[in-house]
Amino acid sequence: MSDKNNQTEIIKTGTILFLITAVAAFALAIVNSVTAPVIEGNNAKKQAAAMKNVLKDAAEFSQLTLDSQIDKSVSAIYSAKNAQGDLVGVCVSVTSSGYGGDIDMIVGVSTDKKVTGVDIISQSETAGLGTKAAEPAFKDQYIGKGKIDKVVKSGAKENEIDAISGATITSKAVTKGVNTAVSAAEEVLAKEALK
Amino acid sequence: MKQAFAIVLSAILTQNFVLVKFLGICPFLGVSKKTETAAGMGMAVTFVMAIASMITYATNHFLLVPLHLEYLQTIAFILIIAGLVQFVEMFVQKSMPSLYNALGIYLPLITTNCAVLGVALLNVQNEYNFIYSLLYGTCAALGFSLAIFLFAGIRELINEKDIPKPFQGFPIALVTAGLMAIAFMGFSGFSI
Amino acid sequence: MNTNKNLSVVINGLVKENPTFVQLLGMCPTLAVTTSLKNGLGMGLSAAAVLTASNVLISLLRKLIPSKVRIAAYIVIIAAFVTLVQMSLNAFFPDLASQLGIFIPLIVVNCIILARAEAFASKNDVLSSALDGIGTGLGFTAALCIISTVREFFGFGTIWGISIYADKIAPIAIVTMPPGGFIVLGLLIALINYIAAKRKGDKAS
Repeated sequence: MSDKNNQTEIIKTGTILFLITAVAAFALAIVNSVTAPVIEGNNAKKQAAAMKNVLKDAAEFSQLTLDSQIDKSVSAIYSAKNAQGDLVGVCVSVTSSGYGGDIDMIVGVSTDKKVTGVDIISQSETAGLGTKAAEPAFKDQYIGKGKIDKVVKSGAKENEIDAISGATITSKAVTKGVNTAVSAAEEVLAKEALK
Repeated sequence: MKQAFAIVLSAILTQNFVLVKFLGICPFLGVSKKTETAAGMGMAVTFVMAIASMITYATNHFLLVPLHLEYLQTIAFILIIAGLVQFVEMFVQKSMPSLYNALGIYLPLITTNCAVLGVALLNVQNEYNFIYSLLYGTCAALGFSLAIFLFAGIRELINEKDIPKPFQGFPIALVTAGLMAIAFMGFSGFSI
Repeated sequence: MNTNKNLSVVINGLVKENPTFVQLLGMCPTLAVTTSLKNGLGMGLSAAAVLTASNVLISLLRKLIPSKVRIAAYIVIIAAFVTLVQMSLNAFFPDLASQLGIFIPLIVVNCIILARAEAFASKNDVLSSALDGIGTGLGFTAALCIISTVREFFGFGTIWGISIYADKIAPIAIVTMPPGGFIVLGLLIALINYIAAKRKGDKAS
């Protein structure tokens, strides 16, 4: 008798727990169907705005397939065309490892292999020091330059970058990302030119 | 190989779960009055985090992602962890009574240790494969154990000292943890 | 009379049993996200929303949930609300969501929420549970706002992103780094202990 009681109790308990979970999952599915497209739209908008920001002449972007020669830290390359349909450069999504974790950034490179702009998409650098990498005072240094040879404390010459004071590792990480992006862009642009 | 080494070093030292990432603070402050209990908690957490990393990876990779149910991650992971903790408790109690006597009282507390759920979520976020997930989970837990053990050692000494009244108890412990965190920041100089 | 009692439930959670400064619960987000007032407020309100919603639902279901599996049931309910908050933040406040990062899903294991579910909502009616959730939630939010204001002021020289002295004097950046979190919270609790002890002394004499 008590065994039977026990069994029904287990079944009842299990059913209630299952019902709660099922209702929760169902409610989440509904909310997800509302929020998922909004989140996707946000991300796409952010990406597009960032690309436009680093390559101002561009009007239209199309994603290129990555071949095996390109460095693994490059996650995507987009070719950019202006309103007339001429190739003006490429945008490279690249990840570099900084002081507090990965730094995701987009680098615009023109057809003459000069950097047209750098935008930090996400980073977890030290607040107040490394986060200054996202400010124009630092990242606009790259504009018009090609590959960077050296990160210096101050008084940068051609192909050099002034480090953010107190955040040398971040400065070097961003520079490494930019250099990788320029190399990747050189490969892609060489191929595009053959077409 | 290089990535594996980077994961080990960052999980234990440069990105220490407790002192840099602020995960697992409740047990860090709550169970650190004595070095023995701290060591016990560390062992229990390491055990659960290693297993949890594997199971949550498998659940996410073979169940949630193929079914496009990523939004159920939080619910699924916390249920797995709660169930796992219960299961480990029963298993250890039956098969390893001596270990149970040492760890028993800490096991139920682990469900609400955010380091465990944290590592499961970070494994997904960092897109680690099975081996790296296991490695990261284990090493993050070792980092937790290291921090809590050192912290307990310092607290044992502090308790014998004459501390200003408003600072007694948690405040001095928090300031101590802050100083430890400064020491751990020194490891950040290693960049791999 | 009745409103008095309701008010006291709210005040209790807000001041007397403040989850952060008095009960020392939910320490992880308290330390991790309080680098700026915006983040502190966002985290506090998200947790308060989850706490109130889960308190109400658990109180409604308190006679239905078998006591043996109640913790599991509470966890499912809390996790569901947390996921709701996470999705909404991702969709409508993407910047805040990326700042708070992993600490949004980690609201699930915030001990405050489970503690209130077990200690209050499972034993009381819906209205008082809701009020308890609001009181405790706002207490948590208030604590987070205080800590984050202090850290933002000293660490960035700003409040709510508005520069106070940042252009003139270099702020103490370490206050916003992990060690600063521990030390600022320790000093604040010591200050509260000091004030409480002093008030007690005044009353006694």
